[in-house]
Amino acid sequence: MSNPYVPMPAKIESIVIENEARDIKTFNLSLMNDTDKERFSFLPGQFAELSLLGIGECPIGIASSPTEGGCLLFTVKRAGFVTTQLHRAEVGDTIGIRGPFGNTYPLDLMEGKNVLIVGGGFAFTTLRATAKYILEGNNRNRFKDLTIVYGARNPGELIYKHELWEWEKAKDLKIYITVDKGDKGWKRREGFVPTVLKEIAPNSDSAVALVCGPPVMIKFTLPVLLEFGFAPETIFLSLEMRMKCGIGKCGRCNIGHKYVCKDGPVFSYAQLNELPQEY
Amino acid sequence: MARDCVVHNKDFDRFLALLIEKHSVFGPSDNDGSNGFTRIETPEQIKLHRGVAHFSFKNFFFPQTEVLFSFDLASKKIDAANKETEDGKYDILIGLRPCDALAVDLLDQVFVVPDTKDVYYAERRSKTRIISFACNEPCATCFCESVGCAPDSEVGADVIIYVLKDRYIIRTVSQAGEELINGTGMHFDAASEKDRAEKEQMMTDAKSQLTRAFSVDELDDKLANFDASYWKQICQKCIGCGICTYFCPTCHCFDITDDTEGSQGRRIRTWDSCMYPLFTLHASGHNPRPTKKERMRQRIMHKFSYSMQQYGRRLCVGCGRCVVHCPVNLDLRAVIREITEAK
Repeated sequence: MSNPYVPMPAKIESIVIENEARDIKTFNLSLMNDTDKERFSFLPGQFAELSLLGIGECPIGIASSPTEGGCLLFTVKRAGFVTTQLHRAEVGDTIGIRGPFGNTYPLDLMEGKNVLIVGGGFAFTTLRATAKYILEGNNRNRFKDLTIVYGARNPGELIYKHELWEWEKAKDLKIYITVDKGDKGWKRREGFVPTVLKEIAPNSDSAVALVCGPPVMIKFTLPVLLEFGFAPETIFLSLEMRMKCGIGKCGRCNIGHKYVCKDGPVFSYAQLNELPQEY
Repeated sequence: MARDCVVHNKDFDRFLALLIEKHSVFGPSDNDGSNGFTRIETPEQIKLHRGVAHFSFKNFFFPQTEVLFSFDLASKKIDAANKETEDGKYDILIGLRPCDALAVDLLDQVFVVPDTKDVYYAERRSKTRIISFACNEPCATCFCESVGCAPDSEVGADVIIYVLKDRYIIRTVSQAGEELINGTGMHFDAASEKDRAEKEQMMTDAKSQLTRAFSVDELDDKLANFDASYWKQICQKCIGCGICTYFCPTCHCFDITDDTEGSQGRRIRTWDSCMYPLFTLHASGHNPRPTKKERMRQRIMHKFSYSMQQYGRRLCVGCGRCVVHCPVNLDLRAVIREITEAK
């Protein structure tokens, strides 16, 4: 009987500081035990509990795709007690992982369809995992057009910058990168994500939209998607909540009768319309 | 499968002594002055008061504070103490009222789930047999009947005991209960028609003492209105102390924290409560349940509505402990009545 509360040891292989404010870091982790490596099978959209002995745990979305080999990426904003300590960790340190937990983006439903990804700020993590998954050689044919709209407050707050610039040049996807307000060197789009989304007028025929970002972005993005004909059943959002156990027992991450940790974190807009607006 | 045996008063202590001899027995006692479930060494230590025990059995399967594992900070080595034992030995939890036995069954649905089994709970649960006692005299705060339980409910019990005037009827409910009774090696007479009739009469009397506290008939429809105006009124008296959740035999929310001393540490699980603001506070400062209105609504909705959608059952057994212990007399029964009577 495996114990879901005991974390698996993982080594920090590398750390990337993602933003100018230096409060968002991406940790590249590798599980240390072969049995754990085998067991840890996941798909884009899922999350894990990062565990620091003596400090505690925090739920973080998995930012890498299973198609990227052994690496496990977690992009963490320094916000609370655990994430602050995690930001002090160094390459070579051992931390713990519990998971993978939760559901995935609806990969089956997305198959054979156009995929629109709308992300904002540092909530781009599991969306990045999904994009990587779709773009992977063997998977690319399973999905039609991939369109990404990604924005941040300012150029310094965009995460995964090197990848974004590469994706701009790539032929197998279309990406629109925007910032609320640019700086001297900024040559790209300026404007809020929902505004940019409206400009590019996404085609909702045979399409699925995946949305993750700050509440204010989501609030103004959803009406745009509906306006362009996306049905609530084809819009998917990833939610976050305070969590402890990750397996639907500790009782704090529920929205109505759904636990974000085990029934989510991905919900369709249609599902969310059925739930209390308490998140 | 069920079998009714009869034991006369003079032999009942011998029956208990045989259980104590063969098993570790836990029951409500005043050993530590608490009338909680503690280790029973002699038959007379079992103290069955009228109605339910002061504290429920909850602490037995799901301790208020429990070490999940210990660790060494330097080596990062983790020692998860729980080990599955297959020695066939089991403990006995005796003296639960039927409402508490039902609560065990409800907690099982949360903790003993195939994919995400809570090993700590499941381990203790699988090696424990439950002997409940039917209720002859419900208390004024009991409302089991209103939530579909009863003074003679057998759900969750392996054995249920009926206390008659000069004798006991021991009814085996499950196969495990049958083995438990056979394991004592004691000879039991089968209950006669007269015994059964007396038992039925006692139960009828007990049930007649229970008044319908509220009706759940329209509750599902009423609770479907999440934004109903009554939530603002209902929560006014609540001081958010959370005592209702601590005494509740089905409340199972918990927190996980780390405790360290030098290089040694422990990851600890403790009971937590949805009545506390920090329970849902995000690191960002956002709180989806910021005031007592949302928190009170969560508690009621979880027990009476969400659980219906999750398990098809309500997470309230009518034990009345929340009614007894609320420091501001916020009576759950009145709350449900207010909801069902709202326009």
